[in-house]
Amino acid sequence: MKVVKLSWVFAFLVMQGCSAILPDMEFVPSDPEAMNEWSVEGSMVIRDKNGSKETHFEYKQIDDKLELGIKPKSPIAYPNAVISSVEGEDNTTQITHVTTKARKLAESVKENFTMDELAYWLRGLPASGDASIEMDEGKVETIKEAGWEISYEDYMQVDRYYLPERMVLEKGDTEVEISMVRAETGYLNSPCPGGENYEPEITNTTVSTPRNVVAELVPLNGQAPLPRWIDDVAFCKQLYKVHGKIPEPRVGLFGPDSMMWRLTASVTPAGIGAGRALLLQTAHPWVTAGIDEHSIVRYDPLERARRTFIYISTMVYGSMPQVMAAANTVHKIHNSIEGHMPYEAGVFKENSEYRANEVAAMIWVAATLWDTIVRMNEKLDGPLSPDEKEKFYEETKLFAMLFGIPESALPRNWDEFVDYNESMWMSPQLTVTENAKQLKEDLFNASIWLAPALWAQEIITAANLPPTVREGYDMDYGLWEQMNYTWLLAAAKMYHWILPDGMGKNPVYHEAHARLRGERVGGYQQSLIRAAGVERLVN
Amino acid sequence: MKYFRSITAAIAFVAASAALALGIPQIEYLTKSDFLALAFQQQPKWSMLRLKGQLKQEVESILTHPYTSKRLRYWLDGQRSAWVIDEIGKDMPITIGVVINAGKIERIEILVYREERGGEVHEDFFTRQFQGLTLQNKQLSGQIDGITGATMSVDAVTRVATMALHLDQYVQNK
Repeated sequence: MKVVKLSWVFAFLVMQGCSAILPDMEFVPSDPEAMNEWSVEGSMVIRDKNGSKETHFEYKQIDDKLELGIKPKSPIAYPNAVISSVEGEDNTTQITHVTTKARKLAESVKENFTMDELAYWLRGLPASGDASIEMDEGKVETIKEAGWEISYEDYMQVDRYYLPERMVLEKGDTEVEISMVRAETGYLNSPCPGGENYEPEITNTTVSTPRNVVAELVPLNGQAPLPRWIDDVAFCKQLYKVHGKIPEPRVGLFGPDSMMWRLTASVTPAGIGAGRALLLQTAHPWVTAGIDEHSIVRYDPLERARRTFIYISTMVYGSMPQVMAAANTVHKIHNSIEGHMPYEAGVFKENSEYRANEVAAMIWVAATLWDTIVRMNEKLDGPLSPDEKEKFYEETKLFAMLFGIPESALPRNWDEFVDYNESMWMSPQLTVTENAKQLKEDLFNASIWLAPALWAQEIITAANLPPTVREGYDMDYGLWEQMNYTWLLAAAKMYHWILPDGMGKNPVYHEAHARLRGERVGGYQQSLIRAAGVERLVN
Repeated sequence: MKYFRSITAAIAFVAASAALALGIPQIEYLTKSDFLALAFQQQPKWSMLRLKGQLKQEVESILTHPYTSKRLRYWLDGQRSAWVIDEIGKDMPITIGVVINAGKIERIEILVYREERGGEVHEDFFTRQFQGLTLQNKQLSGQIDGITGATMSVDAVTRVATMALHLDQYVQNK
């Protein structure tokens, strides 16, 4: 049995390894000069005539405030000394400290550099107009400034920037080696661009009769729900609520103990459930209309899948600034998706307005994900307990708030959530249009190379769709399909069982764990992340 | 078992092929150094312009949104200046180069385009429209015709052209 398992692991490794043999990514960085809220973490070694000192550090800039935290013991500890300053006002530099060792390290740094110089050099930028710069292939190779020669030995891609990963600074007898592990490029201070303050107001709460949220989302009279658009202010207010709930930005929205990380970590449940979630979404005529008029799904489904993977993974596994950046980007994209229904579909009249940033539509799209991920996890690992489902559902509310959806608009608990899903399946809000059917055909026949995988995906999707929706798509689920589903599910279970964590769990999950340890993710996981077109996602 | 092995291998192969097929929709039309070579026969040393106070407010008023950078590097040789500025189109920055000579736009180039739609703004028929335009009441002196499906990119390039003219005026008067 061991031999069989090892053979499968080896075969999978070879195949997965292919994804690591990628052509160089075409990435053209933006200018890091434009960052006004950013931070980098790493370690530095200072060698001078007095010997060698080593420490972890975090350098942070928020507007004009510069802060260097010295962490001699651990990269993820709170700083034992902090050098702070106001940009352009070197005389404001001061050190606050907890331990003597950290104070000495901080003084050593302060003796060698100004905080202003570090703010620019750590981004690979000259600190003043007097610097001389040598470039190599568009990247700064050397900066000579203020008596220092700074050599940039390696760069890391973070968000849309190249930031130095390793640099050596030399001046006379002093040499400083700086090695960066990770960086944040925005949203440190505020979850909204421009720093608008929408801190939630504290008001006296009065007990009122609970609303029937499910009936609001799926009206009993068979009509469409009243549209509630999410504008920038409503969106930002929800982000502030989420932002305020998280004590440790490094952990992100959910963290390693969450059900969200547990249920989304394995690649198999998401892999076999993708078709179901997608077809449930496109059964909503607004989604299909949005895809028809605004999305690249039809002509570039892989690129669309890549972006969805990037945004959703970042929201689930990212640090808080990364989560906020992803939420703002998605909100902005959604803002541009609006139009009028080109045809009548179910409860939606021809020429009626649709927008991606609408509460009921977004709740439906998110619900298809969570309902599917729970269903597929249960298929592979056995039933979840009611408490686990309840905990998971509570966590999904935080995710919904990243889209500006107020908690009050969501089903209150798991039971209501199940009720909502089942009501939607029976509701005329889900009407499979001819365009949706065409979309399904396009997706399941995307390429001859993908034929076996898509055939398997289609069988699994048919088996798990609610019958009303399956019939809407004219999908067969007879004896032949049921037989195939049986062995495909068994195969998926075997895959799920065989694969060790390193291969069976989402690489972004591993990257998030590395972030929590203050480390870089390993080379193998990073090569898988590169397959999504980015060097790092949530590190 | 035969089917299982075939399907499994196919899925793994497909996953690998899919990964290889993915690309990033960003195009570098011109490097910064090539742009500067087009702008100047002999490239001058860069200068640094601090953006603060009233100048920052004026820049933000032209861009119609906060500008996060506190300074900008530029190249100046007599009456000719060159600017390389990032501005968001839809959700990614477009890197735009502007050359100004004697207060008029001499050349505008899209250096990097990072969106999947609207890339037509790099075409000559579009960028030519900016040639010879000046700044009048903090606006471009002429009308820029849009491109269907590229409205946000067109607006971004127009804003940057106006900003560059304004900054050129500032450094020439310094």
